[in-house]
Amino acid sequence: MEKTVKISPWQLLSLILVSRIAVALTYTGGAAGVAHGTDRMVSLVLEAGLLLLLFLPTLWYIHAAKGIGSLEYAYVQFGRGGAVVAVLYALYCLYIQCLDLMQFDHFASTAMSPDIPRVVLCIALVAAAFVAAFYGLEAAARTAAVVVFLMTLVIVFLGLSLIPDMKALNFPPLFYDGVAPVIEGALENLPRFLELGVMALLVPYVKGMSRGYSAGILTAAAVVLVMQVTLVGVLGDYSEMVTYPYYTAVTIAHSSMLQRLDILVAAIWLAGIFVKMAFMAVLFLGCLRQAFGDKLKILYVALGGAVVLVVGLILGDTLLAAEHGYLWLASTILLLAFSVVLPIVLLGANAVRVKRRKERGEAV
Amino acid sequence: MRTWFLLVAVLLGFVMIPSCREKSQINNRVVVTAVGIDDAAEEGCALSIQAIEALKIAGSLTNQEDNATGLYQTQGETVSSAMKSFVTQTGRNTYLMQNRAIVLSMDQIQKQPLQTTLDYFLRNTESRPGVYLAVSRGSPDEVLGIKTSSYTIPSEYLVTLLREGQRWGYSAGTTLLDAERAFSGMFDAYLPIVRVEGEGDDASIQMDGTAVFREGSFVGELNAEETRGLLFIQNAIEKGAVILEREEGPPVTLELQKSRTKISLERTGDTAAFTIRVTAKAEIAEESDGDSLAAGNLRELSRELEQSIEQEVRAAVEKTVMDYGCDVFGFGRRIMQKEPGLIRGEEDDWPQKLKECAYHIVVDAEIRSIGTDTGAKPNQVS
Repeated sequence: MEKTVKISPWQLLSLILVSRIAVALTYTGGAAGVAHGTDRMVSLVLEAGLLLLLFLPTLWYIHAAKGIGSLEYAYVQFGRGGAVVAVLYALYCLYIQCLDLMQFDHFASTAMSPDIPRVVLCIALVAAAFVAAFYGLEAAARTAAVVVFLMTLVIVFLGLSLIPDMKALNFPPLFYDGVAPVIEGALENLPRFLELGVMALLVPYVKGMSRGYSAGILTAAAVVLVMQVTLVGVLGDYSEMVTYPYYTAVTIAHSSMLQRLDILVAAIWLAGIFVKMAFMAVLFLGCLRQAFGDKLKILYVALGGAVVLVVGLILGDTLLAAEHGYLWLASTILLLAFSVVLPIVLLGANAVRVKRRKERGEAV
Repeated sequence: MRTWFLLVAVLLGFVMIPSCREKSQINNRVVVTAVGIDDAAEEGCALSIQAIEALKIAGSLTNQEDNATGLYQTQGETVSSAMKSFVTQTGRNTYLMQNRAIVLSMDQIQKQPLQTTLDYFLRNTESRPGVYLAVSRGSPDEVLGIKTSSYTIPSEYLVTLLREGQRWGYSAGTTLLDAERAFSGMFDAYLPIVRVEGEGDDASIQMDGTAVFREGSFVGELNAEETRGLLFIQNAIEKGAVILEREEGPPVTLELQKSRTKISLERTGDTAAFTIRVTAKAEIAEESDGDSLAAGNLRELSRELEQSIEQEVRAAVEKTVMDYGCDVFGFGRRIMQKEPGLIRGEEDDWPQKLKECAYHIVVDAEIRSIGTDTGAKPNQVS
């Protein structure tokens, strides 16, 4: 991660959109029995509101830290102890990548083709993502901008081509079981956007962070809403009975002589997962370089890739049971720790440091 | 260093990616185009697999003497095990992605719930939701074994019949997706019934009503008129011929050109009153009495058309809701959407409660064209 590199709010928006859509393409909430159908549409709006609310501590941090990233800020507050924060951030990035690889492994082997050489595919994906880490944040952001354009285009195109298969009868009534499923749905989906936790880290590298973040969250909510309308309109309540409802819905899409358009979903999803993992790999490498220097950067990348691969492949088969169980809990705790607690701790440490200096009569 | 890293990664990739020799060869697989499922009593089920013979489609299709498919028979305790025994019998694996139709026998739908029979196709990643479903009066292999010179792949013949039959009001075309929606509890399923008429080269597939299900179990059939009534309500009919028998004079044949149905409901105490409003436009396709085309008579014909459609729609509702106690039209779902308070907590009772509901059928038909012949009387010649 080069300090001189700055990405625009639109590039941040692209990174957020890619991450959010890649997760939504393989959403399995229906199978878990949380908010579904029309209720999930409201859940998505509520979730966007919650993600904006959870950004407030980071926003507070951005204003207080005056352009310094949370990692540098930690070094200022804790001296060499800042390396602990760097390692924590690096582990957080690896955790996100492990989840992505588990999702990739599960989706590729259950929804696309059970015969697919999943181990080889996973190795190829992880290797590509970690090699991309050397190219830096700007390269990841530029790739994200291209991928997000294609993703949006494909989702809108598929939505339009599926209109003849959509029926009003397929939409379940809103709030039929009250508002509880809507709230549960929003909370269930919230820790799927773990990128919020690294926003404070990105402060020095993004121009107009808050603008890019809020636009990214709102645009992502709109795109995922289009996906939800599409899948409910086509499948109706059956969307709750299939593992990957959006993919199932698009398997019937065709336009003119073009058929089997589900391949488009597989392609954009693969591209999205790659960009998301590469983005996290860039941050992972950046954190370790800051903590331990540049010399062993290939070792960091190789070790990181190996950890993601081993964890992802071992836990991939247990994804469905785990993602609405302990993984949800772990992800929620981590999301709150990195997006709420860490900025507050850093600012609190600074306040204490300033107070002590003032008491000692030193210059602040 | 980065270049070396990339080089090693690429080489590793080449080494690990499987080569073509590890993949299935085309002659090791049969490309399934239709599947028939029949009851095999103690044995479980009997499958008829219509599949493309890969070696027969080499070269131009026009040079082929016969159609490019073969029909295989196999048995197993379940559909899945029958598929697997096909592999062990022939040494060839099935490829379902090109499957176009699944035909079930009457015995099979009476023996097993629809969802159980179709479960293999619902789970299989190669199976597509657009696959057409049908029930055959006789054995499914009769339907799948029909050879036609019009289609290289016989399942195309069946699929075209089912699709066009729906557009013309003869067949309640149903896909796997419709069945999947039904299994989710939104409404009950129905499947078109087909039968084979004639033998050998003269054999053809005929539409023969509709099989109706309640929660996946077969409950009864609809005849041709009731099937058309069902298609009117489902907004699925696009065209169709209506023959009006007249008290005086020869019958008049009308061709439906457009039909649109809207269903509304209002709460009436503990039940609901449904209004099924059909709007139809037709033209005169055939008549031999020029008097039918006079302005007053056209209004009369429109009224008769309205009565005819109303009878068919009413018959479909009577048979499915009142006689069979099933909800193929999603009336319960509509109550959920419009009057949720009426059904909430009592969802399971509603198919029976639908019998207490009122069904008002309003048809507004208009004959908008008389074709190119005015029907004017010819000049008298001496």
